[in-house]
Amino acid sequence: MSGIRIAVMAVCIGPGLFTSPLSYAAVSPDSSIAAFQKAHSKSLGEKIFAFPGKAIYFPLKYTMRGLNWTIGYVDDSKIPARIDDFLTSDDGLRGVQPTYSSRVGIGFRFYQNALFGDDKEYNQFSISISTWDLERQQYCLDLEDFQIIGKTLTGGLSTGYVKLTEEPFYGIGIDTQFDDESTYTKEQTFAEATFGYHPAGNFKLECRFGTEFVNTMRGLEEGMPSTTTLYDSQTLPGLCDQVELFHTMLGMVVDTRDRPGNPTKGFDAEVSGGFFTEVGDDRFGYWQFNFDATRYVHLFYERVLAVRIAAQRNDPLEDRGIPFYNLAELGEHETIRGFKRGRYRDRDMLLGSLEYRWPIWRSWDDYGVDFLIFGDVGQVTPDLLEEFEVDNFKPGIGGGIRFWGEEALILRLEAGHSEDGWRFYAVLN
Amino acid sequence: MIKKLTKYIIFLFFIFSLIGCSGYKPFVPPLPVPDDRNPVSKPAFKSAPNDFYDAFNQQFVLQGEQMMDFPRGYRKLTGNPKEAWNADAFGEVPNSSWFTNRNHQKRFPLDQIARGPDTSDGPDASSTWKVVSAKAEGVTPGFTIIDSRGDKYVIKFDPIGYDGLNSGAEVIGSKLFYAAGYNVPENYITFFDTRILKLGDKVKFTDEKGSRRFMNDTDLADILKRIEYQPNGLVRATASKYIEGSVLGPFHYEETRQDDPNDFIPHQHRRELRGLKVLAVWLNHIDAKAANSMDSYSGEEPEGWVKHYLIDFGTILGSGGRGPQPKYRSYENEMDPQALLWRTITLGLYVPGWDKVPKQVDYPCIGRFYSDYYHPEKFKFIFPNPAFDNQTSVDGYWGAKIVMSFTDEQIRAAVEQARYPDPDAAEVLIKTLIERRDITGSYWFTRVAPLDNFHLFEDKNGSQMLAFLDLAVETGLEKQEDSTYRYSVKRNGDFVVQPRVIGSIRVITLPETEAGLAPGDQWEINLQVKRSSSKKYSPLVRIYLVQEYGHYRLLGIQREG
Repeated sequence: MSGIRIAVMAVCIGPGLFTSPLSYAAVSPDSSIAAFQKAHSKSLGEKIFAFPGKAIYFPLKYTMRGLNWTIGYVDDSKIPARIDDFLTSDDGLRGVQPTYSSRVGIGFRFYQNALFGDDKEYNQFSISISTWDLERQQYCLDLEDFQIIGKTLTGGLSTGYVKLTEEPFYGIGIDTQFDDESTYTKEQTFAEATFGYHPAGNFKLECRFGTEFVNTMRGLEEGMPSTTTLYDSQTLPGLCDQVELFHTMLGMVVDTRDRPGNPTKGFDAEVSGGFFTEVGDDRFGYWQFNFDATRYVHLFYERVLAVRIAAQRNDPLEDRGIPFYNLAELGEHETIRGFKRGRYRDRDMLLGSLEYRWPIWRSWDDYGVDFLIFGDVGQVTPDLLEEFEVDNFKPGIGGGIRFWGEEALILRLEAGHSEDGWRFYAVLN
Repeated sequence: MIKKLTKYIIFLFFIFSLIGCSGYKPFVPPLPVPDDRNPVSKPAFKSAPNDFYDAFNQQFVLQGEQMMDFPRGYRKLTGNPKEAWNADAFGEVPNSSWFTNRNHQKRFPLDQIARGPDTSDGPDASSTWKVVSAKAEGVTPGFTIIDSRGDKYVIKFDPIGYDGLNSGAEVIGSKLFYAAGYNVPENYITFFDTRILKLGDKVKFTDEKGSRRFMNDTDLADILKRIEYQPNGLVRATASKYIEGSVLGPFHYEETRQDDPNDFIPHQHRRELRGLKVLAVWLNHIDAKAANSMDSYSGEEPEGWVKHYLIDFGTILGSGGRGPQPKYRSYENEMDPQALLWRTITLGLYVPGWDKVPKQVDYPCIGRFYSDYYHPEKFKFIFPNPAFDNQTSVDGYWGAKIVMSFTDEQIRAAVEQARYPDPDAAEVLIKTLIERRDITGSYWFTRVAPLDNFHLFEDKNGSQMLAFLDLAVETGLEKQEDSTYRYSVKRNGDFVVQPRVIGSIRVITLPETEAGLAPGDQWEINLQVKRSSSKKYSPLVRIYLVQEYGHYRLLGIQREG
């Protein structure tokens, strides 16, 4: 029965679909003024049959219209331009940027490039403040690439205070368990001077020396045991202790990337080595060697493979120790992205990473969005030379999205998976 | 429930198909479209929509609406899209406030192509220009001046390092779109000494941060620092003359302007706007949107009427406005969900066509404009355009006829007006335009049989004949000897002449008429063409005739596509 009813309805209304709704009847009696009857885009039949689609689309349409109107209003009101104007000086050398990282929270960074001279790449000054819940805090003051002798010899100074109340600790070694997590508070005051020698455009020799004053205390993360209740300074060197360390490092940096924000080819490598020694006592002292190199391989049409190898080796001076928080560690976005930060710690670390990036969207060559997939693998070991085992490698895989600008990476959103589960990261500026 | 619903949908589909295919229907010529240049009261000014609003609206909101428009989907599915509403019985559009039949109806002499819409030789650069407004925002600054004759011009500059890029595109665009039939502003290449610029009183100014304020001499000096100077110290710029009448804001490519009684046909159903797509594709006018159009009240109120203009051709051909067109332009919308999805799921292994376009730009003054990578059927605009979305094959054919009406010499005449600094670049541009024109014509003249200009005559024996032109042959795309025509004749829907091949002759002998017969019977000639390079005949062209007192009269034509 229903079928017949629909058929009758279709036969009656159907022709409406094929009838042009056009007519040109002039409705004004005043011939001096044109007043044609406006044609409708749809005939009555079409309107009836379009109704279900319209009804389904209605909520989405007006949600999008609302969003659309908001975008239009924000742009018309010049709010982003005004904020940018407010936060950035007319010459673009001075400004304020928002910052975010999961470790220290949200904040801002005030910068002044070309503090003297007119090259914005040099004589940079910045202050950054970040916090989360007012518990985790970071205050930094940086003077970078100050010209001592032209562009050949530069100097810098970095000083700050960091308080991190939810630092994770899982134990030392590659066999630690995810469920053994505890947290501690790390309070650090530091100052470091840097001298850089630039004999060639892409090559730099660096000498760094500085001091850090570290205090570790009870962790404040709710529902998580404090590391201080599970360990003491005997079982975990540096815990519940105040340690002042002085360090001297020599390093070499090579950077041949074609553009820093979104490199498609080139090489970025840093090798450094030096020692840390305790000031006023001889409990702690060790050598540290770092190697971190990333090669960007242009595969085809801006599809890029980033191959990274990194290693760290910490070697105690005679019978002295290494504070546990300064051991090599694996976890989070700088190492194996499927693990939480500090998931594995030991004296030495070896890391390998493959990351494939491909472009999704471009706006001229100024801005773009890339997707990426990656595989990270790494291990910590008491001695990289003696106790390295292939079976100890911990893998992690994942993917993400990068929003980049001409000069720098703007936003990175990543998800990594490992035997511990999923981890998500967002890094702004 | 879903099963039942599916059954009903299939049933409805069947019923509608039956309605669509029911018996003989005589051809009814469309009503003549009234002139839309009647006196109306002056409508209010409406500003252009915000760029982001317009983009988001066109790309997402309206595309979603189209997807959920079931009758439209049904028409598409059954190959029965709505044809344009303002075409006459022969598929042409009458002269109107939108369009004037020009080059494709009567070929323009070369000097007329070169002159285009121009009524003078541009702003008088021999005396002072008074700056009356300016903008510093964006990559290329610009300002509005009044010259010594009292004419008002918008002065626009080329991006630094790309002398001639925007200005050349602007001028060529205005010449070709004008000759095609559209209303465009007068655009001139001008060379001037910046010392003739004098700042007017209380000049409103949009600074680099987008703030509106009064302009001062420092602002003017700052703008003049951001432009390129010729070796002789002069500055090359486009002078775009203010369009006549009072401006009313842009027109939209959909629906009608409610406060204009003359505007009675929804814009997306106007053939000249749907067919504009073919020209826009040919000339790489990727930014054909509301903001690049303008309505103007022409004449004195209340005797005036609204005239519709295309404006701003600075981003056509190889120019992207701030430099050469980015490689992806014309291949993808600015935010193309389909392309984004495709690139995502293939992990970037799918390489879009634009990735293969060379990075290097050979001629800075013409930018990135190629025929090698040109595929009219795949062309995409920065954002979808509702009139273009409604284009049918017949609209496309109409547009292609206009594109193909431009001769090599006419294209050369238009390009010469750009006064490019590099003569080699101008030659390359001319060659590219000619090649793209032919690719455009080849595409559309294959989709729709390019048989046109039908006319009746009697031979010396008194037989009535129907002659026609093959535009593919006329324009040199195909050879006469490679073309075979076939026709059949129906009388009131019944075959009286079965399909008959007439070789490469473009004349059909019509059946003998019955003297004294009153009007009534309708005759239908179904005509097709086959090229030697193809195995299939083209889609049909149906020519409708009516017999009146021993003679045939052309009623109209219908094209399949």
